[in-house]
Amino acid sequence: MPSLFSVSNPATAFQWWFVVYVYVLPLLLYASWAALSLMDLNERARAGEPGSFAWGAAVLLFPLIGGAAYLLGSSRRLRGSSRFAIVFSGLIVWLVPLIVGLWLAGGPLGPKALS
Amino acid sequence: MRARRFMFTTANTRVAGTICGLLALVGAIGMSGCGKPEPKLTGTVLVSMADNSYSPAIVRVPVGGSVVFMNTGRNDHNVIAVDHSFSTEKTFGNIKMPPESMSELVFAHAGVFPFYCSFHATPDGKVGMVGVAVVGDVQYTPPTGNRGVLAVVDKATGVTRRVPQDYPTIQNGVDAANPGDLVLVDKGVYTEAVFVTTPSVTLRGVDRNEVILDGKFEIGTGVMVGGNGVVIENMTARNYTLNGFFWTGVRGFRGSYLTAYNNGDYGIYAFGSSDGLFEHSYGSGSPDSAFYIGQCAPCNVVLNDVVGAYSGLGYSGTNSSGDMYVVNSRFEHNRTGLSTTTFDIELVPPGRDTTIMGNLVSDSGLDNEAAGFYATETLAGNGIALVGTHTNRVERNTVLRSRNNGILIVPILDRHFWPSTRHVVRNNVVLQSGRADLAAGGFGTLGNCFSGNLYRTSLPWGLQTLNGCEGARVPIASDLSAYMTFFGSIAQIRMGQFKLNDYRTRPVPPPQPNLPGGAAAPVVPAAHVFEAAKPDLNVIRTPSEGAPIKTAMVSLQ
Repeated sequence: MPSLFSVSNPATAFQWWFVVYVYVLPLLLYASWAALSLMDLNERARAGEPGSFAWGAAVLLFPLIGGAAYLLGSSRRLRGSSRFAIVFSGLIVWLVPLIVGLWLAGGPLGPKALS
Repeated sequence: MRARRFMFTTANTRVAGTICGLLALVGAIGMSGCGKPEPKLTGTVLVSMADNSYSPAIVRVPVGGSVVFMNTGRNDHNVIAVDHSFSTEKTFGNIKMPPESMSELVFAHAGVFPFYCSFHATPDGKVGMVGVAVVGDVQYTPPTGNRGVLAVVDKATGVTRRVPQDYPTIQNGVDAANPGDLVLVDKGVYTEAVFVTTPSVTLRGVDRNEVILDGKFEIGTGVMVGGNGVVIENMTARNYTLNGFFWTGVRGFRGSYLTAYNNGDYGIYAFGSSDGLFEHSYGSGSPDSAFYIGQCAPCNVVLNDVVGAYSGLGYSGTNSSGDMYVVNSRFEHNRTGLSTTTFDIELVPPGRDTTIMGNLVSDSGLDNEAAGFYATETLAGNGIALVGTHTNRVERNTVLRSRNNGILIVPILDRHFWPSTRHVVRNNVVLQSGRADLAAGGFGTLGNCFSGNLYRTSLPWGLQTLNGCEGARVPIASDLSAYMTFFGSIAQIRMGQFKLNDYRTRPVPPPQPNLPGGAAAPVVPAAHVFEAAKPDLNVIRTPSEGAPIKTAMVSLQ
């Protein structure tokens, strides 16, 4: 079984760029947002607050969107500024390089043959 | 006649590409309409120049009106009046209009103006990429029926027209031929572009390796065929800036014992054509593909016992669907061994129902000796690639030493998003791939099944185990890792970070086997070709490296 994070050969900087910003980083964001959300939900559940199970399902079943929605909209234990920082800094770190890469990859590629 | 010239800026296209790329990443939803921005011109008629046809082919404009020609394909095109009264060479400033370029022609006088693309049609405007501008309130009745008045025949006439003994050039011989005649070409190097419009002609060389059409890197296509039922056999075409042998818009064709090498686009090529066979032929050194079947549904086409080498793709089938067979062949040292692809730039998408069986595909993208261009580079390093197509059958092939993936299934984003679905990948030997022997990537890559393949690695893990052709399958049948390489490759290309091998300097193939019987072989016009050539799939075996390819077809000779 090859590494899930393998890149095409030759493994140029652009190959790594897209593997990191399209593939690896979204997974890391999903994992971190989900982990923070579930920790928060666990404390809510212990406090007997309703809705923990539904939110937990949403966080796990809707990657990125579920975690971001919970952290921005329903988290109780984390401070608001922290929650916004976690979500938006994550999005900036992910999307800005991704958009730059897609910008570079967009558009016409040139003539077909060397003739 | 007045003329204006337009050109898109790359910035607009780049924004659209970025947005569409983001849309593709978030789910490939609503992709219709993504791609290049449409021109906003009023008071004009827009004609798209696709690969290789005008759409619409017949356009009506008022006197003083204009037609904007936009190259929506991936090849260079142009517009030349048959009477040479206008051309995009004058209005655009170059004989070649590259992809996404535009040029406007204004028609000041009433009349009927046939035109053609000098790269993809005959100069008489009758065959290939041709169109008509009808200006003003004039009568125009499109031609109907078969081209010309000559009918296809099933049987040879027994007449042999010899080149150069009877006719000084191949074109002279072909022009003199009637349906069912043999044009027999003697040994020699012929610097010609031959157009065959008479149906059921057989064009044959006396020796495959010594009857050579040579374009000297100045002439477009070696032999272009626009007549039904035409056979070309036992000769070589080399050093053309476009294609070696090219059939376009025909029903009934056959290419046997042909060699095409170091041509600037395709080696042996059929477009918009059906009921055909390429067999016992060799193509190499083409930046696009050594063998190409484009835009047909149903195709009823067989490739049997061919070798594609040192090209961007050994075989490429774009929007070629239905009774399309690639069997018993070898594809070696190409950027990508073979692929089936869907593109919006050709008609009848998506590509589907191709059988790929009994082929040996090796060293794809491995040694960097192949010719190529940007699109083949995005796929480079894959043995068999199924790109945005449906319901292909990939069975009993041997795929070795692919630089990246042995067999790869991915969607494609052109003007629409085309997922790659319901392929059957069974009983192949796929080994020694650099990244994964079996790989499925991207969104919408669903309904594909894998059984009985001998392989070591897959992406995602468990691809065959979890997606067998019998029983239940899990819905997670692909990941994004293979897909991401496309974005990486495209960015790399745009930044000029990869090297294109010049097709003019690719390896010259060794001498190839001649047509059995040579000049005296029976003459069989290409009628009902598929009926006779359809392979018996039951007798096709998985090839092993070093062993001769076993052919399973019934000889037409």
